[in-house]
Amino acid sequence: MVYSPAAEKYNGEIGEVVLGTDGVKVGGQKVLPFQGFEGEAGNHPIIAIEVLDVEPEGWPEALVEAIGQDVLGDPVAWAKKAQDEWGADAVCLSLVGTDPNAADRSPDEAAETAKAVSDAISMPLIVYGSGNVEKDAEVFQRVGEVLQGANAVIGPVKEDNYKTIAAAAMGFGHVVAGETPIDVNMAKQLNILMTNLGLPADKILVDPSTGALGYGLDYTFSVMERDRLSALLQGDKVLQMPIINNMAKEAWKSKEAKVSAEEEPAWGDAAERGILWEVLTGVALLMGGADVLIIRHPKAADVLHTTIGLLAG
Amino acid sequence: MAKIRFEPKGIESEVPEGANLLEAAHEADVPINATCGGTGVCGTCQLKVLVGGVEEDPTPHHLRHPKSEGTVLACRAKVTGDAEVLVLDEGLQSMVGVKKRGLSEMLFTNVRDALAGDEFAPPTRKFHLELTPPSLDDPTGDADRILRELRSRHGLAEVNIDFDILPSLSHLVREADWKVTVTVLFKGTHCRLTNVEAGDTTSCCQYGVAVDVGTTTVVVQLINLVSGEICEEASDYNDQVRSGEDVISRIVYAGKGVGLELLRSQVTDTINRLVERVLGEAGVEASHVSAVVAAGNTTMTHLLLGLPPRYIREAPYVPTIGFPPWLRAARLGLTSLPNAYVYCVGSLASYVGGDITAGVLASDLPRSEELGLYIDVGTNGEMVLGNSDWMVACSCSAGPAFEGGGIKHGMRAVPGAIDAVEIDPVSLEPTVATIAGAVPCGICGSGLIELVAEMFVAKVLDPNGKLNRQVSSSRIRKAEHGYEYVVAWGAETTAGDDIVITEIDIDNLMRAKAAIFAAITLLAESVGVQMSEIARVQIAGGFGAKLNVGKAVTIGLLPDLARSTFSYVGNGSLTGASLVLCSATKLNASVGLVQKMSYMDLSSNPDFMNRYVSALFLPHTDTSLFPSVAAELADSIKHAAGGESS
Repeated sequence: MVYSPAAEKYNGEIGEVVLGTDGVKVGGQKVLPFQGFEGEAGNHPIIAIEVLDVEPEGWPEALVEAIGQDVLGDPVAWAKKAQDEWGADAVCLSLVGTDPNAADRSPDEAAETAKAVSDAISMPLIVYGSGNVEKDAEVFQRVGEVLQGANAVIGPVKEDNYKTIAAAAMGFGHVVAGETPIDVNMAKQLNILMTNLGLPADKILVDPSTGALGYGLDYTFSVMERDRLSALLQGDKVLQMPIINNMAKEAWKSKEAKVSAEEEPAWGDAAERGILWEVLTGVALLMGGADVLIIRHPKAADVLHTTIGLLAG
Repeated sequence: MAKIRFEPKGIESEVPEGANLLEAAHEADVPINATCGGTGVCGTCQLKVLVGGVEEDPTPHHLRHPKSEGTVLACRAKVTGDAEVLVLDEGLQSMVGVKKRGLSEMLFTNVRDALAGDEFAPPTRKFHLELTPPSLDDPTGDADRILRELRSRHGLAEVNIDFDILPSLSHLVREADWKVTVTVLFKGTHCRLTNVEAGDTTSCCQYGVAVDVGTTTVVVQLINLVSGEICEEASDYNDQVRSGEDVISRIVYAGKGVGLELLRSQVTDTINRLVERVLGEAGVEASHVSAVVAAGNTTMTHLLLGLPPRYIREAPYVPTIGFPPWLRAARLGLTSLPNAYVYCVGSLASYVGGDITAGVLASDLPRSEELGLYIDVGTNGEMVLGNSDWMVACSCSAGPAFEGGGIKHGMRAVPGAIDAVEIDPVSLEPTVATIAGAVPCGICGSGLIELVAEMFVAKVLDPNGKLNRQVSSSRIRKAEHGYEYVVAWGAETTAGDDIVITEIDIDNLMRAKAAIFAAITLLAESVGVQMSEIARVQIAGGFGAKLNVGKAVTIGLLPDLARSTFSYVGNGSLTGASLVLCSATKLNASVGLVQKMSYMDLSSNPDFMNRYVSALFLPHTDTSLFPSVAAELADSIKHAAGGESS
């Protein structure tokens, strides 16, 4: 008798979403993540390098060194470096400077930065706001407008500002990243609300909210797992969108990624530790079904690319 | 001791220093709502301190009702010296509603019509006895003489006599010249002699009272036990609402100090008040009421009997008693009924009580081979699925929204309550109808369901329960605690204030409907039944005179089945109680029913929360469950588009 492995029966597939203007696609899976032996495993997940609109403060020395002090205050140069030297698949411009509690940069200033970064690179651009719902709504009306034609990803879109940002995305032809707080049903609700407005499903990425390794990663993982099971096994149409994980800020906020070897000698080399923290967070998210990972460290990008290659066979 | 004065009514009371302000208020009979039972989470017991001695513990951050400037939470404040406080919100105002018999909203006016073939035989019966006066040859005692006569003349061998009758008996029989009427209570194989009256009163003057002891609303019905006629019906909010809005907060409250005694007296006060009202309306003497049948959930039954409900709340959720015995009404504090005996309809479990037993008894479920679903929507939602052979029941907490509780302008279904709403999809102007056509003074459960459904279809309301801020209408406005929609302008209402529905109200309604829908789907799944296999759905509850089933489906409260599947049976608990009151067969059947039912516990069901959250949306996050609603929405878009272009 010949052994035949039990095959999972799938009742749905993840839709494909085109990012940027160069034909980069994510999603398209007809099986659970990396289960290529069961069927069509879809597009490979992509790695986006995070670039800040203002010079970051308090980042670990080793990370600053790896990125290069010279580009940290210059988002355009930073983005170009990510594209040309680090092999990133995409750039994520984080508009942290627009936060009213930080530098409170204006929507016009943010739009100017976004436009400059977009013009400097040929790969897909993701633009994340500060997370302040009112400010993000203002910012993305302007940013969406100046990026018209770039087919960028804009987010995070939340329940309280989806109408404005999704309208900007529809008007100027962008993809949105809809963020909900680690809850399958909330993710479904936001997707229904956005599609009710007329935003096509292939213009939506799901941002499930991300916790880093040791800081809630398990919650994110299980909610992503449930997202994918609903989408693929139960055929739930409103969850059949690719997943984006805005993980860099979380991974690098953790004590383990930041503390120096002098402070915690038993924890080993700080530079390597930071990379490992980001990589391990990323690998777990890939297993959970991530399609886009937003990360910071060039070396982590390398390792994650290799991992994706190995997993995808 | 400290002296405390509660304004605006000026009620004064003396309390020991350090006393809790909420408890002090309740003991002084000052009605203050504390919907969470005084645990500091709801924010409904806010008071303003006018003078002095009150000290408040730090307020928790997330109150369900945000705190206003300069107030304290009574439940977290203690009296430290003489003080004056101002009561801001007296909560659900007592409002006795009376239904005259013959009004269209009563489903039937004679209980005989609802017995479905069972014999009309109330548990109390009167016998006229003409006793032979005692003599030296026959010196048998007065009471024994009565019992002897009952045995020889009426074949009643096993009759116990109430001690309460004896002190006045010797005088009474002689005054009556040995011609008396006795009332006998038949309880199973035993009988009890409960009353002796002078003369022959058998031809008239036998009344019973059916009571629905709801968590939020209490309803009583006066029934003529000779003719079966329903004489009067009256309803009011349960006074216990002040001590917590749901059963859990009541149980918590019962565990504090004199809480249990207070709750017991609050419910008996409510019942006494209503009984006096119906007796007055009907011109019936209290002494002529011989039997009372009460149906309530298990916690309500415990509180009525004065039994501590504590273990109902703690795993494995066990009540003190499922089938309480007949008890003298006066012993329970039902002082309005000196001669009556009380029976509480038996319960299946801690969370499926006598109200459900009564409701199922009154429904078609036990008499049909077809698969049926009985849903009682009250503060607790209870549902029973099955047929004449088997039944499975479960319950969930829905909150008082459907009875007008926790809703800014919510009210019970009494005249003046908005119970039907239509919203023009183009102008977004509502047209409202009220019960009895009175001037609007609030919104009842059925009105709330219609209102939210209409707002949703007209796109005034987003599926996540948020008002659509992009719609330009003077009816959508921002108020102190968020957005609201004006249902009726002040000029059209009794109080002269606008009647509104707030986003908080909508949220409460959504939570209630989500819990009920989640429970229905889990119940069906637990026995492997598809919704489409359910041949009929009977809905009970105090929504209003009627329930628009289509609208209830639109908001996702009820499953999307053919509308002809549904029927609204009104207050099932009250109907069941009246049946038990009028028929010993029904009483026995109620016991048999409970034995036939299985109970499914949702609190230990890990899937319930998930189902609940997925139903917190209009109509549901799984739109494929509501195909007719999707079609209705598509129609309304077309309609609105057509309306704009023309």
